[in-house]
Amino acid sequence: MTRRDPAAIAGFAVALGLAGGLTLAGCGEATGAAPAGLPTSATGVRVAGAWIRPTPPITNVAAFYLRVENGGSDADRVVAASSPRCAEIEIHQTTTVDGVASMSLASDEQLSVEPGHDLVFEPNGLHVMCLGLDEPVVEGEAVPLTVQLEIAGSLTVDAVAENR
Amino acid sequence: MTDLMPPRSSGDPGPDANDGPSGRRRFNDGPSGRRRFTVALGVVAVAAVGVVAALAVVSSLRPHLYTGTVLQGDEPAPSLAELAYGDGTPVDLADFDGEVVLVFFGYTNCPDVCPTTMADAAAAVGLLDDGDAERTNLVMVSVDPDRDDAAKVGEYVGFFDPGFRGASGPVEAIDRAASAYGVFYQLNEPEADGSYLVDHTGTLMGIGPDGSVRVIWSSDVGPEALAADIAALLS
Amino acid sequence: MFEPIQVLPRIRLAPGYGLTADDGSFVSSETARGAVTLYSFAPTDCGDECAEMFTTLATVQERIDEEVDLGDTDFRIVTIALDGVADPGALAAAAEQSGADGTNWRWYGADEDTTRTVVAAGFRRWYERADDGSIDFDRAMVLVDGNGLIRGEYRYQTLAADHEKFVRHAGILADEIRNADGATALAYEAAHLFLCYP
Repeated sequence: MTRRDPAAIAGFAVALGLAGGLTLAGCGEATGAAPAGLPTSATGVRVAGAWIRPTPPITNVAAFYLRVENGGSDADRVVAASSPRCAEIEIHQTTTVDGVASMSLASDEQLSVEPGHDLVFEPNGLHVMCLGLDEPVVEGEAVPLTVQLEIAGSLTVDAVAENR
Repeated sequence: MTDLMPPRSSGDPGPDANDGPSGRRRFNDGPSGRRRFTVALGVVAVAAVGVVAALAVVSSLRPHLYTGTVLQGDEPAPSLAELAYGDGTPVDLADFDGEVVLVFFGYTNCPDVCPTTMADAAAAVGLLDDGDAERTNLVMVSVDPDRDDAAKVGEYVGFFDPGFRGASGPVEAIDRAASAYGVFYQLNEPEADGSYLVDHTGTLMGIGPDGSVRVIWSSDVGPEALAADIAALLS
Repeated sequence: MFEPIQVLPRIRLAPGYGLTADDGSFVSSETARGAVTLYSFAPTDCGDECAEMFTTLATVQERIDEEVDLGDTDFRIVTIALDGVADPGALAAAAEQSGADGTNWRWYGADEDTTRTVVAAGFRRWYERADDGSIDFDRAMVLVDGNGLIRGEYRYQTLAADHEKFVRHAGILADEIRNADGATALAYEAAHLFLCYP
């Protein structure tokens, strides 16, 4: 089929949203205390539950999933992420309507996290997309991931490679 | 141009699918010699209705409510014969007679939906008992033949479950197969490094033991629900 | 009085497609997801021989708007051009000629190959270009639900007399959509399993 320009893709995503009430991985209620040892920003924001799916040897893309917990008193926003294993990282939103998958760059609004809330990155929703993966992710290994927030700054965690 | 036009059937486009029983042929009140035969048939029919009703009651005690959307059509699933596996063998759905085949359209540079769906499908197979697992197959068709040949798709899905198979083919053949399975896809504009994403319908189609498409699942169905539906299809 | 739940059969998958609409936008089977769509098929230059069918479509649109409660679900009519026309201007002219309102009733088109894949192979509607360049075709309609499944296939002849059947079928679909969640969902799924068809 034909290549579409980005504007058309955005239109496509909007149309999907209108068509069936799009599912957004959103901000849930905070899930309480996470295990000690997770890096927490001075403003009380931390990254928990980071994981990555082991990848087939022939692909060089992957997705990180995680939870940004805002235990502070100010709203914050995820602005970027990086990993030594990925040439490039983009934060994407998979728009899923009755199983239709369309990906687009996540908007500022989708990446904001209010105080006392979590921003959840999970399969078929928000995900941190790793492009140019250097070598396959093997089950059980730890893949470093740095999440950069507008106010809290950078937080680095190990994403555990597991099949779930 | 490939001719895809179905043959015209003597000017009649076929029975209206929603005409229901009104179009059914009835026994006519023919010669009297037939009357006893008709009565006998009536008795048999009443008995048959009773048995069917009894079966309905029994099975309704524990109906399996599918998580996926169930289709009633019983025609054969759209052919994938224009596509081939990595070893060059054309995809012949008849190979899976009496078994379940999950059909998925995706691509190997897909970061989120495809690996999630394949991992869920593999996990679902893992939840089935050995007999059902043996009779559950998966074919992933690439919607990105420029980057995916069939061998690559096969290797990709094989990572999730060694029994899963990958298929690809000429773009026109993929277009036809995707359309027949209700799948739409489009390539996104490439980035500076030439990489690009593909938007695609992420549903999983389940071909039942009778060879027709029986259930459609959305990509977020999850392993447990998928396994339960597959087991019901095989029972 | 016991009244069994009626459902329209889920006949088969409607085809996936990507086409051009009469306003120049790109439309696909995913654009239609979530809405109930009645597809019809005609050449862009169809005159008198389509007049009755277009009147029927206009009436169906009107009656469903007034009589059928589809809740939040959109009901749309789409006419797919059979003559390989992808030019939005030509599609818009055909739409105006047919009486399409441009919002709930739209014309879609594509090049000849794509049209053939979608209409002949996908929707299985027969058509053929005659020696004089005109197009012979089955006047038929296909009802597709929000999941992309074909729920009704209608030869035009069965609709010509009146619109009752179609409006009734839309109503049955509306009931199913309204009852898709919660306790009644089971009853509707059971109706599918036990084939309570109208």
